[in-house]
Amino acid sequence: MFGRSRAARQVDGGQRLRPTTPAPASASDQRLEQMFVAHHAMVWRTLRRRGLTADAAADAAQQTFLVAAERLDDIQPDSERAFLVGTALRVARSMGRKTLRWQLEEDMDRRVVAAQDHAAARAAVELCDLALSNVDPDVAEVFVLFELEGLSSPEIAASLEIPLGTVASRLRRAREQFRRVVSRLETAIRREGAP
Amino acid sequence: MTDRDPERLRVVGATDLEKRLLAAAASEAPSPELRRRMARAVGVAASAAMAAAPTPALATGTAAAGASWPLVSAGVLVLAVAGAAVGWSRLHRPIAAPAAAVRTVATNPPVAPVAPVAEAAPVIARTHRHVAPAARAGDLRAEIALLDAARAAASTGDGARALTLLRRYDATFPAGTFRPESAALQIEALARLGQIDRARALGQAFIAAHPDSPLVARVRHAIGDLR
Repeated sequence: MFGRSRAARQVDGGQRLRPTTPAPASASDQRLEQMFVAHHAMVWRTLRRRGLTADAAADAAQQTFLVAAERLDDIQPDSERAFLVGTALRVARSMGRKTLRWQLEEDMDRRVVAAQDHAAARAAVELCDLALSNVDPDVAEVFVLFELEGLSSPEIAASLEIPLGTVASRLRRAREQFRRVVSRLETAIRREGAP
Repeated sequence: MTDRDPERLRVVGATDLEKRLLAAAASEAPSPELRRRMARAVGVAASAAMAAAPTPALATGTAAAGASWPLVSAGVLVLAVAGAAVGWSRLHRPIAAPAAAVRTVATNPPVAPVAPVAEAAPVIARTHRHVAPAARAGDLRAEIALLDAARAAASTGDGARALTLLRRYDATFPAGTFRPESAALQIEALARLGQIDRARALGQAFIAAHPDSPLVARVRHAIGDLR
């Protein structure tokens, strides 16, 4: 624990830190930490792509890892990502957060103009989210996990508890929809003169 | 399924704009503040989370109104401001090394209903943590996250899990803002689990320690002390 370990430590000039009370972490503590280090950004991003704000995504990510902490024994080492993603999406649903549903025509021009005020990368994230919000949610979920987070089809199938064939067909449909929306965005950008 | 996955769109076939959007979304990362908050809520050493974080193309978070701190300097800033004893040496040590900063929940045994719970009264005198004000906002939200999880467990009747989470809270936040709430929740959980003697002992200690607390009524109710 952060607080407890600091309490247990002595700071001594430039010397290396030493615990005053050796307290080795349990195997499950270490495993949870490793899982957190390896996957917390992915979990957070997955929640962000569902429309949660940065803060809300952090809240949901916390809950996800707290659930994982209680279920470590059930999680196979090579299924950690799938477990975390599946849990994160369930947490998001149970939090009752509504995904932002931007209306393409109404918001697009305004957002494109607003995007010019932000750093380019932030603008690109917003535009990506705008595009995703105009893709059917079921297929968008698969798209995000495959294209953005790099999960394999079997992992996605496990996370979402759907057959592999469904993963493939949703990915195909998502790509079609996403690309159609982005080409409309491109038209709007050119019209508004954004870089 | 023997078919191989298709190539990612970013890698093959995307237009320039598609690539830009996908690349930006794929590399979005939580801000250092959010990262720390999540780590604390989960009970993981925040320094380890920072150390392993890939340098993000951009960081998004509550403080980041368009700002995008280089991860390394943000990490130094956070640690320096917190007055943490962690220091840079921790960041350069492999996570698996015998570590002072690793979670030390180990000394709290896994909760069984009969396991003794940490005293409600202030525990072992701990070295005072120098927590700078800048760290507090993140701590509070992490504290709340843990307490909410415990409350949720208690409300579904999972007293054992509630106790696990509350002990994690006590261990993570020895000087936490919500120590009294944690104590009250533990007393309630113990009472519901049937450990009425223990609940009563802690309850009376709580009432003696916090006579004016608005939680006293709840604690009395939990231990059957109707007044």
